[in-house]
Amino acid sequence: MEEDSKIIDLLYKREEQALIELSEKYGTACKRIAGNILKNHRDAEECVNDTYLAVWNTIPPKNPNPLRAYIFRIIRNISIAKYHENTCIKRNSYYDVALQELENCLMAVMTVEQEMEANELSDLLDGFLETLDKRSRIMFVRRYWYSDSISDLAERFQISNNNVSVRLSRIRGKLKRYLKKEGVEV
Amino acid sequence: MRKKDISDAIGNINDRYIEEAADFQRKKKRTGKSSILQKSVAAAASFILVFILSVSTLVAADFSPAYEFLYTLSPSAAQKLKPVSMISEDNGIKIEVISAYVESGEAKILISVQDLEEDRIDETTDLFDSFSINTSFDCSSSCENIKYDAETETAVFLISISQWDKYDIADEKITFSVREILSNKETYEGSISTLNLDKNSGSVKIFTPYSVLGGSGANSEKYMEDFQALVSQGDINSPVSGVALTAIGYVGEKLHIQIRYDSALETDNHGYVYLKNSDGDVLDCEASISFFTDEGEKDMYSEYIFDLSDKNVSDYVIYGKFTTSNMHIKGKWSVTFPLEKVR
Repeated sequence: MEEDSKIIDLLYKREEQALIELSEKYGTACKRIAGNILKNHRDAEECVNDTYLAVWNTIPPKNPNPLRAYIFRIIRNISIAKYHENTCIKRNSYYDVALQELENCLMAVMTVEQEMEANELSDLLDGFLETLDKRSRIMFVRRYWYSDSISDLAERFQISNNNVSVRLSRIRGKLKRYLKKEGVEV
Repeated sequence: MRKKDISDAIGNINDRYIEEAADFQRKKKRTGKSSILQKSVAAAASFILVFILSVSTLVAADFSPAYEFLYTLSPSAAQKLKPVSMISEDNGIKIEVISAYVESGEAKILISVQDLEEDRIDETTDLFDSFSINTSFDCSSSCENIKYDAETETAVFLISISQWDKYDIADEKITFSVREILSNKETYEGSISTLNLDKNSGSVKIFTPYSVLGGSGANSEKYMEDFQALVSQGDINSPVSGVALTAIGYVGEKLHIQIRYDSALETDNHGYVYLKNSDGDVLDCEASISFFTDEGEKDMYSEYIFDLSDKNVSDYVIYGKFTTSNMHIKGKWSVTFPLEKVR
C-alpha cells in the first residue's frame, strides 16, 4: 500500500491509480464508518463511492495532512447527510443510538438564550478530550465519532459489554462536569 | 441541544483524536516505507520540540500536556524524551516498578501498589480499567493482580505486553499510568429469592428508563429498541451490600428480574442472575439490559429477561452471582521505565 504522500501525488497528477490506492488503504475503514451510521450495505457502498469522488474533486487544491482523518471526515459527513435524507431508516443505527446517549448528556447545553455554536462546543470537546486518559479518550471517540457499537468496543478493548457501558457513562458524567466547570449550562 | 448540532460538534473535533482512535484499531504491521516516515516524523518532532521547549519543561508531571501532545504525534519521540521514574506516590498510595524485562519479544513488568497511610489495599485490589500503557510500538497488553503481601499491604501486578511488529523492544521506555483503584471486593453467589415466578402472581407496571446503557445476550438488541423496564417494587431482597433485587414480573411472555447496583460508576458493582431448579438445572437469561432511571446516573439497574414458556415455573429459584467493592481510590500515578533484555 502506498504512503499518503504518494497518494496525494497521484491525485495531483490526476492519475486514477490514486483512487485504487485509496480504496485499498482506507476502503474497509470507510465502509465500517458508513455502516455504523447507515446500517444499510447498499447506502454505505454508495457513500464510500461518493467519498472517493469528493477526494478526487478536492485534492488538489487541498493537500490534507493527515490524509486519513480528512477522508474519514468526508465519509462520516456524507453518511450522516444520507442518514438524515432517508426517513425510512429505522432508529437502530449505531450512530443514532450513540447520538441519543450524548443528547441525554447534553440536552440543556444550548438554549434559545445561550445560542452556543456547534463549533464552540467542538472546542470545548477538544479541551475535554485532553483531560481524559488515552483509553477513555479513544473509547469516547470510537463511540461518538466512529459510532462503534458497544459490542465492537467490548471486543476492541477486551472487556465486557457492561463494562463498556459503565465506562462510557462515567465519561459522559465527566463531560457534564467539565462543561459545568467551563461555565456551560447543562 | 438538537441532535444535529451535537453531531456537528462531535464531528469537528481535532484530527489528532480521530487519528489516535483510528490507530487503536490498526493491527497491521507497518510497512518499511511507513516506518521510515514514522522515524522522519519522530526526528522532526524531536528537533522542533528541543528548540521550542526546554528539556526541563518536558521533565514535568507525568501527565504533562507537552508529553501527551507529543505522544499523539509521535509515540517513539515521546517515550525517548520521557524521563525514567520508577516510583509514583499520590493519595497515600505508592506505585513502584519491581522489574521490567523482555523475553522472546514479550515484555513482562511487575509493579507493586502499596498503601502508605491506611488499609485500603488488599488481595482483591484492581485498577478499575483506569490504567493506560504508553509505548513507542504497536502492542496489546494485559494487567492482573498476581500477589498480595498482607504484612506490607502491597499488591503486585503483572503487566504483559505483546508487540505486533517484530523488532527489538529491549531498552524501549514504557509509561504505565493509573487513575483509579478499587479494593475491598466481595463476591456472593447463591439464592437471592424464593418468590413465586408464576405468571399470575401479580400485575406489574413498566416505564421508559432515563437512559439505556447497553445489553448483553444474543437477543439484547431486540429488547434494547424501545425498552420498557419494570417499575421498582422497592428492595425486595439484598443478598449483599450494594446489590438489591428490586422488581420481578412478566412483560409479555417473558419473565423480567430487576437488580439495582448501587453507585455502579464508583464501585463497579456488577453480576448476573440465573434460575435453577431442584435438579440443579441452570437456566440463563436470554438477554440483560442495563439502564439508569434518572439524570443523576448514580445507581445502575440491570433487567434480566427469561423465557420460561416450556418450563415448570414453580420449580425454579432465582440465583445470582455478584461482585461488589466499597473502596474506590482516585489519584494520578505514573511510572516510566526501560525494558531490560533477559540474557
